[in-house]
Amino acid sequence: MPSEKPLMELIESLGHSFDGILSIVKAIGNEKRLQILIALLTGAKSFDTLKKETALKKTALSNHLKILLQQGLIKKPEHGKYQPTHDGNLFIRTIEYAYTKSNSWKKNQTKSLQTRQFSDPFIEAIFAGKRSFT
Amino acid sequence: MNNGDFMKEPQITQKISFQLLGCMYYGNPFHSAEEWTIENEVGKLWQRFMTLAGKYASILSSISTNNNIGYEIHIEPEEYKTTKKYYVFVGVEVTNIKEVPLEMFVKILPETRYANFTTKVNDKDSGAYIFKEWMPQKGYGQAYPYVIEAYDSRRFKGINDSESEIDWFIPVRKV
Repeated sequence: MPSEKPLMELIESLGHSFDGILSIVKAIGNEKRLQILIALLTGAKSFDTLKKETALKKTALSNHLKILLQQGLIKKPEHGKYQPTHDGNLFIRTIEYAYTKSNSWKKNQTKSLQTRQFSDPFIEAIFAGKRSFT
Repeated sequence: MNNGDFMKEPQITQKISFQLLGCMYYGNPFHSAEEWTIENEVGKLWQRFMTLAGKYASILSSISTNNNIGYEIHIEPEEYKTTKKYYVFVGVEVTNIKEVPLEMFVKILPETRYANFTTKVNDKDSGAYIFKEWMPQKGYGQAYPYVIEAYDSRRFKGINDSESEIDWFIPVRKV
């Protein structure tokens, strides 16, 4: 749910937390790390499984996992397995909530509904012969 | 498929947003006439538009971007395959929509790039060639399910003049 703090309190809080928020946003704001967080929503996964699902090379995956671990977004409950932390779940769910309430989401929904190609019968119909304008 | 009738190689435009004023039809244009003739529903739509354009000439002349060019848009709805019904809009491009005659409609199309090319009026092959061969070869797909035909009265002299030309705009995106 979005913060309901009064404006001045919100600004003050954001100011105090600026560096922390920026670190989290940077950690999540990467295509592969976001993919990893989403992949882990279904439960703990091994390094090899994540490697397969993200199509990342070993070193690259290790680096991304290291950043997510450092930011406390994922944890290793047992050797070789990774899963999201409470924070990881909270940030992913909050981002999803905010995005699906946003105008960007509505705009993209509308666009995806309209982005289609002609069917073959329609192409044949509109290009069949003489035009109508006089 | 023949592509030898192109006036010149199709061009990809910059992003354009068309804002048009005109008349709309929904249905099967071949309902009352099987072939593409001025007697079909699209021909009648143009006649309706022309009558209104005359009636509201003072408004159109002040907001039309080019009185020489008429636009015909064909929009395919998802249900076309089963109903054979689709949308046809005819009109002119306008600079503003502050004053719209009651019997007319405004159509604002999405901002997009277009594959723009010119054909002779009786060219039956080039359009389909563009969709099925030229666009895939060039790495483009159709961005939206509509096509624009532009009739410039300086080059379009009626459907019975084989030298008449039509300018086509197909919304495209890189695939």
